[in-house]
Amino acid sequence: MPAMSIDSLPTGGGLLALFLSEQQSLTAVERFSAYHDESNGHGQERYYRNLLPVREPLPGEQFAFEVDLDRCSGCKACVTACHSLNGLDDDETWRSVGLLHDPAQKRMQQTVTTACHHCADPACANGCPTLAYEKDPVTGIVKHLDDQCFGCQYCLLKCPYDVPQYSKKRGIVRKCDMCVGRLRAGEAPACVQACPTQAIRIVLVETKTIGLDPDKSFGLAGTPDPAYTKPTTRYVSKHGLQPALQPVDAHQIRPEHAHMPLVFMLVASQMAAGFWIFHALRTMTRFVGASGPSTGSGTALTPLQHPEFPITESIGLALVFLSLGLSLLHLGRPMLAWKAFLGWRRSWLSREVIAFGGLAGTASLTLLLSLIKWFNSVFPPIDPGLFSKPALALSCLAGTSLMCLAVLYASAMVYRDTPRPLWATRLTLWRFSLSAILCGGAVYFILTGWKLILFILPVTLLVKLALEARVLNHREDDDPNPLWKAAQLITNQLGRIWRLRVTLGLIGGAGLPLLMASGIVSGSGLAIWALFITLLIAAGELLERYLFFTTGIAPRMPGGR
Amino acid sequence: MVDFFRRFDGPLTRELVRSPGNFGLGQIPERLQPDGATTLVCGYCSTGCGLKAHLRNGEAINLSADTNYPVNMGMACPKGWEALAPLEASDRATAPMLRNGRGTLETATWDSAIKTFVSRFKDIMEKHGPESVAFLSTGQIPTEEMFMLGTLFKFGMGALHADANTRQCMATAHVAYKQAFGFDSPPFTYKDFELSDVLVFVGANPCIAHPILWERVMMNKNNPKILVVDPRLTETAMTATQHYAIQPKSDLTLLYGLAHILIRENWIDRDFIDSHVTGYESFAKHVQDYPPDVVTRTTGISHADLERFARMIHEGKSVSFWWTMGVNQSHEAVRTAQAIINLALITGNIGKPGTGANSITGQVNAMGSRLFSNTTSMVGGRDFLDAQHRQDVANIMGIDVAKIPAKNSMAYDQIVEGVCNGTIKGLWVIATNPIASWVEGEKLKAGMEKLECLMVQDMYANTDTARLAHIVLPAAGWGEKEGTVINSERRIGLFKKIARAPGQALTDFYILRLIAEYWGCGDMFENLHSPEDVFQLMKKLSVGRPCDFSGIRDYIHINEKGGIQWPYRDVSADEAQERRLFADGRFFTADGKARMLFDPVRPPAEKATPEFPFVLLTGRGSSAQWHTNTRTGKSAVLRKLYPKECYVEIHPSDAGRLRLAPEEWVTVRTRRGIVKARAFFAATVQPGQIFLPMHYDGVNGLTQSEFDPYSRQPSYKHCAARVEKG
Repeated sequence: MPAMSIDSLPTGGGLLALFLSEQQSLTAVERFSAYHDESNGHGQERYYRNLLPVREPLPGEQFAFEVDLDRCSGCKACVTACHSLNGLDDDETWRSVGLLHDPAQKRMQQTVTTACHHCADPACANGCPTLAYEKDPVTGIVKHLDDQCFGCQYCLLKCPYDVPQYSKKRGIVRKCDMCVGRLRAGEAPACVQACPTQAIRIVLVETKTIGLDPDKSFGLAGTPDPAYTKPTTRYVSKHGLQPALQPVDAHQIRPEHAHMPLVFMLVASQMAAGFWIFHALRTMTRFVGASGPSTGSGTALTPLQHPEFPITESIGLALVFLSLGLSLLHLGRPMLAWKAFLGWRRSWLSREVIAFGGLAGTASLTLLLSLIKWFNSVFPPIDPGLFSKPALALSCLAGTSLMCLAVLYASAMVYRDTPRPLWATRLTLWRFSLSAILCGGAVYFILTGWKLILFILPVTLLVKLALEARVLNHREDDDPNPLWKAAQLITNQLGRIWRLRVTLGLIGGAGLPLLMASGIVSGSGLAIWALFITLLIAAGELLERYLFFTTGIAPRMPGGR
Repeated sequence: MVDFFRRFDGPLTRELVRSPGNFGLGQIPERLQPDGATTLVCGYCSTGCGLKAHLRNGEAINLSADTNYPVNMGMACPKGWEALAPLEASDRATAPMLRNGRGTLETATWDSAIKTFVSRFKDIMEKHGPESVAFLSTGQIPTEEMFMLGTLFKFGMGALHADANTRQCMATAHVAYKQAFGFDSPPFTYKDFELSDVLVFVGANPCIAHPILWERVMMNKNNPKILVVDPRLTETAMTATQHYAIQPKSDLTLLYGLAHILIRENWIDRDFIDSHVTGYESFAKHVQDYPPDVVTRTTGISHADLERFARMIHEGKSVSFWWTMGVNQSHEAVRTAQAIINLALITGNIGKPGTGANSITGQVNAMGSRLFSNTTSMVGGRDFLDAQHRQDVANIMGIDVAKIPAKNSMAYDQIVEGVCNGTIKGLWVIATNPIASWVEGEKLKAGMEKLECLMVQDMYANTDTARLAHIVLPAAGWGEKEGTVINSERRIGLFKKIARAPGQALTDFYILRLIAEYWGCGDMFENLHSPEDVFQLMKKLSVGRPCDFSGIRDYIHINEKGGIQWPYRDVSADEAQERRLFADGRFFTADGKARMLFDPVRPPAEKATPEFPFVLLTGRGSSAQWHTNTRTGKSAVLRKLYPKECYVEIHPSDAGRLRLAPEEWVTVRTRRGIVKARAFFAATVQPGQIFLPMHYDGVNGLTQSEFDPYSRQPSYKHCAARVEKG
């Protein structure tokens, strides 16, 4: 386009510079005298006065949210007000609003605002390994101690209501504290003061009746079973709660967080546990059968001939420390890892950590004994004395095995003790134990060539796959429950991972071991094959654990569209 | 020791500590303690809530809702709470941009950008005449800037065609009131929500679209009957005493049918009609054609429900009628709005507390636009075709009357048509995103790509429309400028400057002054050094008009009063904080009587066919999204409050017939385009109907170019569609 000569146009002269500078000056304060109400009080108080309890809770009572469903219209102001008035991070929210509707023909919908339920029996607090939760003895408010938290995020797995929010940049969890300071000052929590329709209030509830009569106060459709934590929030409606409704997000299927450090940590720790148990079994078998013919020694890759350098124990201990190290990767603030034992009275995570500590101790001791023996054979002048007593070595090994079992059990309990249906069954212990046999056995086979393992692996693998596949039985469930979602994920969205998991397992855990057992492979190739088997099995188990986390669908409060 | 094992305090704990804030704020986060606070009106919707900015060194560091503002009493919707986030977005436009030879936008100076605009527009106008350029603006900027834009374009630059996105939301209410009352004059005040004993909502979902107005409904102590007319079971309909799920676009039939029953039963206010209404007799005759059996057949509601509806209106002592987009965005929208007005008129439900035929407006300054944008009406709600009006304006503004066109502008759809057929060659787009918001977006996009010059003035250079521009001017947004806006209840409220605009972004006020200067008509505005100077000029222009607000002293006066409703002629007459119009039964027509206007019902252009078997409804999906989401999409919190992906509400029986699974991706197809959406099974829509939220890409583009003949507002709420798997 032939433009007119631009330069012949008049220009803005000094206006541009003036405007650019004026634009940057902020005038609101000088132009409009500062806000007239300079008091410390809260102007909004006159509107929310009736939404707060008139007194402190008596013994046996606590504060609770009460939501009048007939007044909640789904505007979600509560979510944003909580965010702004509590100075949360950009994408951090402590409240959420869900929507229930009738999945069939009935024309009905209901919005539901929800935050922390300040449970009478808070699962977050019960599971916290560092005692970073404090249920206030007077108000009943479940407060999170931010500086005590080391960011293990176990409370995220424990809470059935998706309440604790992990802050990656801080490495800790944060959550609703019912604006306890505001309540103390006679002010309403942010959500209460900001609800345009006064749908949220704070009430006194009797703690011991909570969870007994769920339909009365917490029988919302699609909400997790209140028996688990005894949530104190009361949902009220003059029409009664409508159990036939369904959350509108019921059919949304999203994989849960994979928690990769835990995926690796669990597989590594189970590898260690299995390894030590195999080692103990074989050592004892050899000890018992010392006079008789030794089992499997014919195919031994690295014959176990004391007192050679204790390579087996060294590797066993390395696996233990590897898994310990991996567990640190999952912590937001690993420097505080030492606090993990504090919750031992109630937290399976604390107990797992303690069992780990025990395993590290016994395994170290076992290795130490072997080292002394080996040292003695290399440098004879030193008298091993007591340390050479086989009983001691065997006891150490037995102790290590016991600790391995404890670790396996505690690990499984960490997940069984959550409200996730995929995890909260005996199957979790089976999964973990069979993983231990597979992974530990494979590694142990590299070192020892114990042929029996070649037969144990396929059996274990097939049993384990069958157990894992059991969730697929829920594929045709009528209701979109967490196991149905898990089955859908394995079939569709994560189908490739599941198929890869099965394939790797079948090749590494069944095909190759049987091939080896049949004697086709021999000689120097054996070690390579054994290593290959281990890698395939470990990869398969890692994928299995990835699916364990991602398809371990958590129960939640009703979500929005 | 306890502290060693268990820390109750520390830096992380202190991050969340709240302490008493001054300024009546109550406890607020300690790290966000302000040293000042000030109230300003929110910049999204026409509710016009007062927000309290928490200031540090004059700059907003946080926001809450203002308790003392008479609109919202300390409440705000999510958009209001998050109003600062769009300002802080990392993708703000910070410098002018020009399209280079390679077709990409690159940074330029203000000087070269404005020079380019001026030279190109002058060139186009010289070659093709003044009608070859146009602007499309917005309801989102203050009245002062609308006034500057409209007067600069028409009186200064000598162009003619200008319209705003208020055409998409409020043109119907504007025309309906103007024809019926003699002036565009919503009669109500928000207090009426609290005073009615019967509230009738037609095509309105305030729970989601205007949550703070719903607050006012919930403050009603009369245990009111709430009657909701809406094809969908909306959040508002859920709370209704009675929900009338009529067939889409059968609202006019229903309203005439109600009038039919009211007249048949003599449930009318004869005295009021006789003294204050003209056209009653012919209206009464007209609604004879809408007996219950016709109405029930068309609307799908039962005879009993219809009779009960009329009876509840009759039995109400203070009945208020409220409508929003369900009415305004229709092929016979003006007559539908006027059918509501007629119900209020024949039952005498107007001018009294808790009554009225009340349009809830859309955008924050749609009302300012209706009065002062100088697009379809001349400033002050005047008429370009009226010689006296032109003379008045010329006198007050001190300009030559010859500069004022004696011709009306084309409406939005006609400008779009001009863009598409090439008669409009230069287009200036201010604070709106037509490609995403207008009907048949694909067609408009193709038209815009052919423009010789497209200039977009916006906060972001990456809106669908700005991406096509030859020139992008970086605009300061709400919170970065001063000015006034007018809300649904005619309350003039204040925008204040509480944030620094990024980079070289300037307010539209400054940009317009610069353009005037470069164009060579800067003298028009040379005495207007600030938006408040413009306000003083607009005051003069309002004198003697129904919207007379010449009694308002200045911005400080508005600030002190918590907004001031027009009319405000002088302090003694108009002191009350909540005032409604027509208490004396005198309307703004020449004879002081309200007009009853009506037409026979017409079917919408597109009906469901075997090929397109669904009726597609569109509307607001959540309270956390605003229009094309260019601003609300910037807040991480708001993004959590609505689905990331578009969804289509479909009745379970239809979904079953199509063998859809919940959440499955489907294609919604109309004759104009497609949109991919997840299937959301919802019995809240009726069989044969689907609903798409309007905020997602391409949704508005599915709708058709069908317009109300009077208001030329597009009919977004009704077109034929198909749902396909995948």
